Amino acid sequence: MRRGSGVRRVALCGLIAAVAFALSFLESLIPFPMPLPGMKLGLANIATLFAVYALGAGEAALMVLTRCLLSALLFGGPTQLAFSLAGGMLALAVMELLRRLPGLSAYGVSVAGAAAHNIAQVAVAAFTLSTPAIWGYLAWLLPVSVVTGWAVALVYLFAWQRLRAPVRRMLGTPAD
Amino acid sequence: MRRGDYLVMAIVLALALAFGLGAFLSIGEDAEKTLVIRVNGEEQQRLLLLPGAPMEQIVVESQGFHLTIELQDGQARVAQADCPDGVCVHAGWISRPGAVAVCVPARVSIAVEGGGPAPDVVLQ
Repeated sequence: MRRGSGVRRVALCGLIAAVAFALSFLESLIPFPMPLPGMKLGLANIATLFAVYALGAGEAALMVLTRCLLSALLFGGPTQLAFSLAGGMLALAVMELLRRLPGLSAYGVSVAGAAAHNIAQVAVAAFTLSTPAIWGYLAWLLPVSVVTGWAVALVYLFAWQRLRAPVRRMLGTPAD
Repeated sequence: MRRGDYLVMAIVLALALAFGLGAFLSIGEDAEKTLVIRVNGEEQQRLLLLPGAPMEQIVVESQGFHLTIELQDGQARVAQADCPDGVCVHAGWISRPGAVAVCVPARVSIAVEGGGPAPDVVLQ
């Protein structure tokens, strides 16, 4: 459903992309032991989740692309780009697919997205290193993603509670 | 939190268990380490890395560059290369499963594979 004036949608996209970019930088500051340099926890999914609910999958995809490119160009490298793009996109796809299911709240959607994010990152690592052994990392990365997914949903809901009305007014549409 | 959320979490944790089991079961299958030499992403050679093995030299030519790869005593290295950056040579001896030395200009990589359980990260 694409109501709401084009310019305002673009402006909102830009805002959310900027937040996603900032989150991406923030999480690179957290010293969490990931299997390979360039892998991330997935905090930027807060913004992706917000974009999915506020705007839709298409714009959300563009934003994931933007923040991954910016982030990798400015303080990462090609490996980080591969990891974050794979992780971000798969997380987005999973979250978009799951969000309409009635039995799920943002928590379930987010945990699924976080799990997808980590699976995608490990898949990229296994592919580039050609070592199938790296899949074993998921044995502890996936439980971690349950925690991070839950935290991401918490932050998203907090933001959504406060921003839903202004976003609706901005877009002139009844967002869900 | 709705009922479906718990289901999602349970599924993710079950997956974690599955991957853990898979990793556990595949230990010891490849008791021997192999060095895999790849040119342009395609596997060119597979050589066993055996402890105590004498020096073996392989010359690889790619993109106009010459690399000399040495295997000895369970480890391998790019001993010599005429590529512009020399990152591959600088990597030195590799022996741990998963370790790689890559020459980007020549599009050559050497990787240690197999070898069963080994420390994943060594903090210094």
